[in-house]
Amino acid sequence: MPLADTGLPRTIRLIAATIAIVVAVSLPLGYWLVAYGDAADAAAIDAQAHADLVTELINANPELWRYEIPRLDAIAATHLTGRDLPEKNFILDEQRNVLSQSSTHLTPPVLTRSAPLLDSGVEVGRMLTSRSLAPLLINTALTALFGLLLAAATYVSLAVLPLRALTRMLGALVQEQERLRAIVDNAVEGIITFDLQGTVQSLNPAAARMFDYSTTEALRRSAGELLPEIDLARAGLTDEQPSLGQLETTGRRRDGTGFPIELALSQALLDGKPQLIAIAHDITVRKSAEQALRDAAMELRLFADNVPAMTASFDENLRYRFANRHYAEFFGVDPASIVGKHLREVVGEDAYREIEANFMQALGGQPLTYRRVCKLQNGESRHIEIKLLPHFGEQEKVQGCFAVTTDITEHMLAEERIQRVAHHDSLTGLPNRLLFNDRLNQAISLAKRDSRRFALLYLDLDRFKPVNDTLGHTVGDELLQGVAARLRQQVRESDTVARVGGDEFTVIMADLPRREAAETVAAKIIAALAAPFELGSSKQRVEIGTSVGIAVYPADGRDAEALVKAADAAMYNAKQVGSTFLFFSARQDLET
Amino acid sequence: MHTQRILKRFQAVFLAGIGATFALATVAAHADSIKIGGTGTGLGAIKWMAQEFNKSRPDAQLTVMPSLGSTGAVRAVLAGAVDLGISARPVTPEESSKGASSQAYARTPFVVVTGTKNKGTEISLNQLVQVYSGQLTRWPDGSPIRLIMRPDSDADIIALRAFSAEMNAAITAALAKKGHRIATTDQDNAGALETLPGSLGATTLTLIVTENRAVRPLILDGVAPTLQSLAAGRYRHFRTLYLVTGRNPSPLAKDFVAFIRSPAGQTVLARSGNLAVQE
Repeated sequence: MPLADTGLPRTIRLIAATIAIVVAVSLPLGYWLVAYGDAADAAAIDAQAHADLVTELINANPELWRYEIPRLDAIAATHLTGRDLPEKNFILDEQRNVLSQSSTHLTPPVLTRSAPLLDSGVEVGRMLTSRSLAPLLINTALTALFGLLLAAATYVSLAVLPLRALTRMLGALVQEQERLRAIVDNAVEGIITFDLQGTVQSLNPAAARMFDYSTTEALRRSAGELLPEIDLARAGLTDEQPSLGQLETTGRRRDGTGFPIELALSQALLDGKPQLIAIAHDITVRKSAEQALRDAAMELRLFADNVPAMTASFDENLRYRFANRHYAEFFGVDPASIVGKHLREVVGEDAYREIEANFMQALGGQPLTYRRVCKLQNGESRHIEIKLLPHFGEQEKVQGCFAVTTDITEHMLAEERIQRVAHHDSLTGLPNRLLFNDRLNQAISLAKRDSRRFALLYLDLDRFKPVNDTLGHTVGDELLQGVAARLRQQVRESDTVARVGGDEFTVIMADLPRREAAETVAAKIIAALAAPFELGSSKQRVEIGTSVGIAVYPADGRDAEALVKAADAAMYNAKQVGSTFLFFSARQDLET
Repeated sequence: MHTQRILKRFQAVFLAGIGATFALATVAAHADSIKIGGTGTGLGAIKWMAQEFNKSRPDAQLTVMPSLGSTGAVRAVLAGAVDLGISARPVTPEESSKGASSQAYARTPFVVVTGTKNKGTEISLNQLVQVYSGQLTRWPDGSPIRLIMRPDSDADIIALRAFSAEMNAAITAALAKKGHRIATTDQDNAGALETLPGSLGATTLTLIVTENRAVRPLILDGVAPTLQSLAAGRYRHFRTLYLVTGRNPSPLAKDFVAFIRSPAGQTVLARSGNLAVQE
């Protein structure tokens, strides 16, 4: 609104003009009144003072005082109260004849004051003191001129300058109003104002779109048409509690359809009247998203609870954010109460010390997988494999980690079985050739590393084939099992006994401090196998023997093949001798 | 009734007798006393004159009033407040038209004086001009000169202005200058000249003589202000004194005027610093 339309400029000018007029008039008037009063007072005092002097003269010479002209002239010429204004004194007798007067010329207008001349209390004359008011009038005129200048300055300072400031301020206010209007008009939220009876007073375009009305159509409608679930008249807003905060309710469009809105209600003075301001936000999309999120969470929970894996999520302090049903049940914890617990509380102090470093690595951003044996609360031990994945949040900051735990106990057992079948002789339970080769290579590596030596004993049973042919495979198998048992009894725990052929066995003596030790073991084996076996249900007595070839690392070979070949060659030579043992000899080998 | 008539007649005669007695007493009192007033410079000699007059007329009561000044004397005579006025000027035509008349009776040297405590004895007119114009402010011994001034309208000032044109200008300058002692009457003037250290002013020889003032007349331009030098015409500055009377002066006043002009009165005038003037 233009400033001129407010009537304010006219009022300000009127006030300023009034004050300026008061200044212009009061200054000279005040000066005149004060100065005139002072002059009148001074004249009166002067007249009285002169009268007192004349009265003294009268008292000294009551008969002829009026003829003492020199003294009367001197008194008349005397200025008693200063010479701020021209002054003329007259001494009059009782007939008002001038006895004496001062010679001063007075410019009119003239102010006169008088005092009686007394002779023993009887008035015998009058003293007049006149003062020219011309200087006072000139000063008053100058004061009036100054007053006019001051009035002009007052008018300028009270009218022109404030109006300019007001115009600037109003311009700024209009700009601010336009800015706020633009903000309101372009706000995403719907902004509606109601009077205290709940009638719509205004609404912004967003609100009109939200409720499917035009701006003009919505005006004067009741709040119940737009917000059927809220009685604004009873909203309970007061000056002490001007806001209801945020609430969710249902809005109703012009066609009667409802939609969820989030509403902030507050009360404020608008245009001098208390009104309710409702800021409405259509939360249809958000509600759908929230529902979708809840559905997704439910699905995720359902899915997580029903996958065989155990899954859990931890925050950066290793407190559980989530654990699926399998995980909670595995650790014997209530699924509903695990959230918020620390990992230590669930796995126990000892286990936590073992796995803490792994979790720290995951929280450091490094994924890892590890296995451990977990002892459950019922005392059962289970093999589990845990895959830890860092949980990266915004800006790749680690916010925790995910743990996918798999119970691999059955898998481990199956693997052990497979390993056993693959590496052991199913009849005797001894390592087969495959495992023998592996152990031999391992022994070579260790001996090479430690600069030690070890012995490889190669055995071949004597007279086994006739037993097998005559007593059958079952007895033959039983014989082989018996041989295996006796061989295991003759060697150290650290030594490896393997069945590498039908009736061929090997012994790897992992550590051979002395050559004689190999001889001793070979002798013990020969002696053990020479003792008769009682086989079959009939306990049939069977006697066999064995020949043992001994090769020593590294003297007789530096790799597995050379060693086996050397031991086999030594065993062949021993078999030629018959049920004895022989060390490998390169010369014999050449002869052979 | 007769008795009452007799009583009334007696009462009337008694009252008439009392009235006549008062009237006669008043006339007698009026006839034997006069009041004399006027310029202070002449009052001293008049007092001596009155004393001398009383020797031959002891019944006459001559009262010399305090100084009224010349104008006051004329007004007082015209108003009947005094019977004989002493003035330092003749009556003006206006005063004359009102019934006042004046006659010169004495001439007294108008002298430049200082207090007797001061060492100064003479001064030149040129120095006097310098003193009144402010160019000369100290006596030869270095002590300050303090001028005793009179109101501008006073006869003394008029007489001083008449010394010379330069003196007239110097007097104007002295009157314009603030700080000078201004004596209102001849007696105030004489008193200030007596008491103020380094004083310098003017008065008349008769006032000094008749009031026995402690002031020293200064030799002006080498001429001492005496009756002889005045009579010889060497000393040129003087004041003439006048007797002022109304239309019908009292017999005693007439007698006193006649006495002043008599040889006895001339003697008193000479003794009191005056030269007799005969018109």
